[in-house]
Amino acid sequence: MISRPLLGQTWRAQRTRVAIISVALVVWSSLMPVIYATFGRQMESLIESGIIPEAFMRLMGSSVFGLDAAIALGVSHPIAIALQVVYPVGFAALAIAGERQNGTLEVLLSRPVSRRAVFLTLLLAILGIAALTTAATVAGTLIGSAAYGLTGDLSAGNEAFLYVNLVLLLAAFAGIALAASASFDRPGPAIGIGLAVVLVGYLLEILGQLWPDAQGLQPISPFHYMRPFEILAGRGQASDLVVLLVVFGIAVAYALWRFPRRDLAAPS
Amino acid sequence: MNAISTIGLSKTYGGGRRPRHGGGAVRALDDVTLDVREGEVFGFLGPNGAGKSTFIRLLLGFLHPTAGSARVLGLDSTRDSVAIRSRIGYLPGGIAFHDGLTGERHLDDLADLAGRPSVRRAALCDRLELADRTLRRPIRDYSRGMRQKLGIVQALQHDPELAILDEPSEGLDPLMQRAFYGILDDLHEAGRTVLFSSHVLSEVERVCDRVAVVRAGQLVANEDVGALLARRKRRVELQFEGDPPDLTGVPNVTEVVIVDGGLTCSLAGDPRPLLNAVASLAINDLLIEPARLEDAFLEFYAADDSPDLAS
Repeated sequence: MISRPLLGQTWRAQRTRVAIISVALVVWSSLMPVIYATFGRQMESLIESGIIPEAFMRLMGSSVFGLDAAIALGVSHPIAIALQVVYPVGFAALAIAGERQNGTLEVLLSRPVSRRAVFLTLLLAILGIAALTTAATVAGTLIGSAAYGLTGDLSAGNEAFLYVNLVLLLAAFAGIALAASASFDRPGPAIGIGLAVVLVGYLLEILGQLWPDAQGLQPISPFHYMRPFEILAGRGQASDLVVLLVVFGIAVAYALWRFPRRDLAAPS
Repeated sequence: MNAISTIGLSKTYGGGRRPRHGGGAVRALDDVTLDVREGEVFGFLGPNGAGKSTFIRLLLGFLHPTAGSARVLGLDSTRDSVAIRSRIGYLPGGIAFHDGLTGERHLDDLADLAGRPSVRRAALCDRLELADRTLRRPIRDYSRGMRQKLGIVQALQHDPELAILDEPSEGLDPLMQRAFYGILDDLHEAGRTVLFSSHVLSEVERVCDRVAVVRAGQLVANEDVGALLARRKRRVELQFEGDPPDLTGVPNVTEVVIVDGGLTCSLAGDPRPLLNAVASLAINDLLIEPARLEDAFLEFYAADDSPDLAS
């Protein structure tokens, strides 16, 4: 069900952009151990002084400012998330609906490639890219930690859990955005759905952490199932992975049902 | 065996499998039954919006029929669409490419996806004057005609059993149109089947064995080009040394008008009764205008105000 030529062509077309994003993520995540090593003592004093409000402390998992907290903060920072979702949301939303609007999808589909194979191949490409950019985040963390002799403070198991959780979060986003892309003739609605899931989900999660009355909304946010502070503190939950996997599975199942049944009229 | 065979093929947009009556449903194709024989060049005629592209997209499995069925190379167009697409070449109308790629890269990529060697590419590029240097340039630098040539090459480079070409000569200059007709002649000689959608009547008349005419989604004609033309009324002018004869009652002759020193009339079908009727007279001049597909086409569209077609 995977078209190897299409997979190769997609990878070839995207490799430069993926490399740029990966380098940016390496740089970004390598900064976190550096920030911890440089400002950790001052931050700790600041936290101990009680000057930081309780609600903001909850954002950091109520932990003191340690290496794990710095890494977790880097992973869940809007800049890191923006870099991570470029492909799972941006590219995924354009991958089918954008090609459809441009008229290039019908040239592709005039070849002996089924719509399901097109969908699964693009999904595999995006998941591969997500795995790569997430690996770049881990690599940056390791580089930054090694530079300050902090690698001994890292837990390989927790880092691996964080990696898997982050990839699954991106997979859930990719599944939703690509399913939307396969369902519309124009990329606008697909981009809108993909971005809405990320932005609204992020806002709900932050809102729930800052405001106890909004905590009931957190479970509908995909970000609620990727808790880096908890994971790096050794309290990661397998149920979070299952939820993200189920969201991904539902989106993919819907697209595999919907896409082959759609009419692809001539692009206008 | 038929390369294409449709029975009652219908497509309604906006109504799903159960067409709504009113409420915005558009019947794009209505009960089209036709056969395209193996090895023939078949013209599919109609102005823009008549249903040509809908018909083609149904054959390719891009659209699902509301009613009826289509078989392509013996395979069901809905169930076996991947298998069908492994044996055909398709040129969409107004083809689009990834502009950042070179022409060569694009042709290679599409050949990889087709899974068949590009045995005809060199010959096609040669005929269409697509030089290697041109193919190594990004497609964003191509003119419309060059893009169309690239589209023709991608559709035919793997020597498909059936070529489905939607408005193939669009954007080609007259010289390249001639080259393209040569390519069609080659395909014909090689026994390949070509379904050719167009609104350029002169090229259909030149290259096609048979034509179907579609109007507002309905098939209004489906026959040999020769037979279609033979039935056409042709204008005849005759000049005599003496008085013109009375041709009233001569088979196939109508609309006789006596003019100065001669007559004009309309001739439909076999010209022999007319020629026999005037054989014994002293004729100064005789002109029988050739039958033109354009006239036949216009007759099918007589009720329309301004069909969008070109001769």
